[in-house]
Amino acid sequence: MNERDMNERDGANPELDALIDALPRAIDPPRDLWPTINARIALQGNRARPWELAAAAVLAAVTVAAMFVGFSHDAQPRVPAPLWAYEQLDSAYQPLRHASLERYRAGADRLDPELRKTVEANLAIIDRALAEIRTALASRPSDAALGQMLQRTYDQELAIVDAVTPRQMIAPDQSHYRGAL
Amino acid sequence: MRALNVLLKLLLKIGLLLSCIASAAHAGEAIDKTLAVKPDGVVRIDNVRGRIEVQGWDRSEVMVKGTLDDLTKSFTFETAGSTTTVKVETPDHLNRGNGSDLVIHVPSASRVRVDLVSADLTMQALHGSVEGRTVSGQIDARDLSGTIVIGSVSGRIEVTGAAGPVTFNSVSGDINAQTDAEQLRISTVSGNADIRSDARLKELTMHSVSGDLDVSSDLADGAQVRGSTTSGFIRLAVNRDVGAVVDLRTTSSGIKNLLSDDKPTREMSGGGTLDMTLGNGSGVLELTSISGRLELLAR
Repeated sequence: MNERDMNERDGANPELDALIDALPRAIDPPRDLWPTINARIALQGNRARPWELAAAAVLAAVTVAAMFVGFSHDAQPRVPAPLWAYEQLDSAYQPLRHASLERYRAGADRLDPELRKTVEANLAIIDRALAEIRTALASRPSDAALGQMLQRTYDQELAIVDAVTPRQMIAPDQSHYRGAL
Repeated sequence: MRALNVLLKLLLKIGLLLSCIASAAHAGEAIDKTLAVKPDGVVRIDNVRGRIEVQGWDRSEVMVKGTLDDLTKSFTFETAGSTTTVKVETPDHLNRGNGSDLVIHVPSASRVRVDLVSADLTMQALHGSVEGRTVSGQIDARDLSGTIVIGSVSGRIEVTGAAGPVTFNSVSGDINAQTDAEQLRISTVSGNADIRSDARLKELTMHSVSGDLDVSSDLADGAQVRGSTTSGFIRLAVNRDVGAVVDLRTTSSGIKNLLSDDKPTREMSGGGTLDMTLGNGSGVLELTSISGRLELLAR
């Protein structure tokens, strides 16, 4: 999303527009500046001394080495971080999703080809959305609204499969998901 | 012994033949049947393909009229206690022939539940509660009240005049509705929803994955509005004098507020937030998006 889409860019300001329109499109410099600019570039190019470049290289090497040594020899014992709510939600839905998609695959051949295309396109949309929501949650893990979005999206995935799976194949304990659709 | 085997095989063949004849007895058959029922009972309708029209009327009868599917295996029309069942059963693989074409009249106060697969559904003048679902057909409904649930996977949903708590569910089908509902729930995956409510909404819940949601309604005092989308846009138009605590948030998309002079805050991620209190702040208006745009407008 670019800035144009933000609210503050949406409102028209006729006075500002008129002032902008009145400005000249180009301004000629009072004198030719290029000879001075070229001279300064040439001067800067001669400033670096060999010993300065060598010192910079050594410093960079030491910094990179320190980073890797630090990462591989962490002084603190690693304790598994507690799972965020959305990670727990992910874990809870995994078996349901697995069973649901298995059931879909088992019955997909019976579907009308057009319907199958629609279903699979939408399952793919949901899959991409789940990835997008997880990315957002990774930066805002305690955002309850995003967590609810994740849960609703999972429910929609389950509901799609329930809606198109031949009814005799729906296990009694999962039939309530039909209600989501 | 050999004669016995031959006799058994013959009996088996005759049995199979009779069963086929019995199964085919309903295929493509014209139907015109009526049952006396309770005026506020349950009517369940199941059909796979074709066209089903359900109309409420002021008689305590259910009448089924029309033609059954060419490949009907069995047709059930019965009433037991307060439940009436209309069910057309067909084989799993249906790639030829015509579907059922039925007009079903039910008492208008009935609680109606319709489950279709590849069939269009029309519903009219139903004032008990209504649950109408189809997988790939279209749904047209008008003049409904009571608790209303309408769902489709890929078919379009068109509704005019739906009072009572209304739920719309769609996967890829678009929803176009004019309701008089005070409670409204909308859920779509990639389908778009365009909903107008002529009643003051007390509760609005909406969720889409990539579909666009466009809702226009006055909000009652203390209304609870919650909506989310992953990549679709949400455009909500409400009464200018609404009282609500507003919280709009996006991760990487824009927010537009034309309901008040408050400006959204833009974040480094490209997302935005809009926190404000309108009027007496008695209600809640929360919209969340990841990459879809949020718009708040005045009606």
